[in-house]
Amino acid sequence: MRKTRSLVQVAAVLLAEPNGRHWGYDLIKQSGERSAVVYPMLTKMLNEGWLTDGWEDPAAITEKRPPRRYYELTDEGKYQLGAMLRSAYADKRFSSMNLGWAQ
Amino acid sequence: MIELLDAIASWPTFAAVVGVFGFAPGFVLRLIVQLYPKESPRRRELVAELYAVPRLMRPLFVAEQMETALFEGFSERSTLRLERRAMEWRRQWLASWMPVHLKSLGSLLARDEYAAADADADARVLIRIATKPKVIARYGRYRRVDMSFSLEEIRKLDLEALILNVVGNRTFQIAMSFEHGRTRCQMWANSGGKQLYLGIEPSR
Repeated sequence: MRKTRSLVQVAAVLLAEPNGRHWGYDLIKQSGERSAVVYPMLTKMLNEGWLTDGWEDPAAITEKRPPRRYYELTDEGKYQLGAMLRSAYADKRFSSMNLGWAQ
Repeated sequence: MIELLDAIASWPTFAAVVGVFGFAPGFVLRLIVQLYPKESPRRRELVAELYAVPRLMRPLFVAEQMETALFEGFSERSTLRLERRAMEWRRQWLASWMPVHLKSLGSLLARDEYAAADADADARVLIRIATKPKVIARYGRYRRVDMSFSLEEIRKLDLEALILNVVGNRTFQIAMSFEHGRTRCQMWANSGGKQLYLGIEPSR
């Protein structure tokens, strides 16, 4: 995948909690990217094998709402996105970005 | 001031607020997700995500999804259409390839005296199918299925069912081999359709 500002931003959010579950809307909120950018990016990451997805267990939901789809990083994803963040940190193009913990 | 408060507290305003922040977002979003193909998990996902969004932000979230659906939904639809066409092409190609090669195997055994001598009742034909559902060939492992048939069974094999099972995957390899005694024949094909080993040569 091509290294873009949006991808780096989403990667930083994903890697802030590498073993946790991530939700589409939360990723949009935390990365500050548009949903039209984040959702296709998630699809690409799934196809690349960087993420796996699943659905919440309806029995575990206490509120009255449908189960949400979650994303989890694979080992390959952690490796690839980690490498991308490291190179972004050294890259002048991304120096103005707030990469959170990655800095 | 009182007139303004009256206007805010009036029934039409109340109905508009209920409509915009209550009923409309879910309804409009359910219409928008129709742009995705039926099989797309994004349909369910976006509707479920709506309920995680604060109520005041929901109209904005729905408006944003219009952009997402226009870009992603249409491209998914066209990809799916192309993929279905490619699958049909692969099905037809394999449907023509497999019987021809099985026939060639039969005629080789009939023609070749060494092979014919080997082709007794114990001779088996091995069909190995390796499939990978993911689009990117670099990632994921092939799922391999080995099947062994006697020469009698292979003549009765339901090739159409076998082919349909194979072409549902984006990447596949199919190999047929016959090995018995001094004779070894092998033929294989893959989803690219270009690399096709046509020769069947008994090795002695």
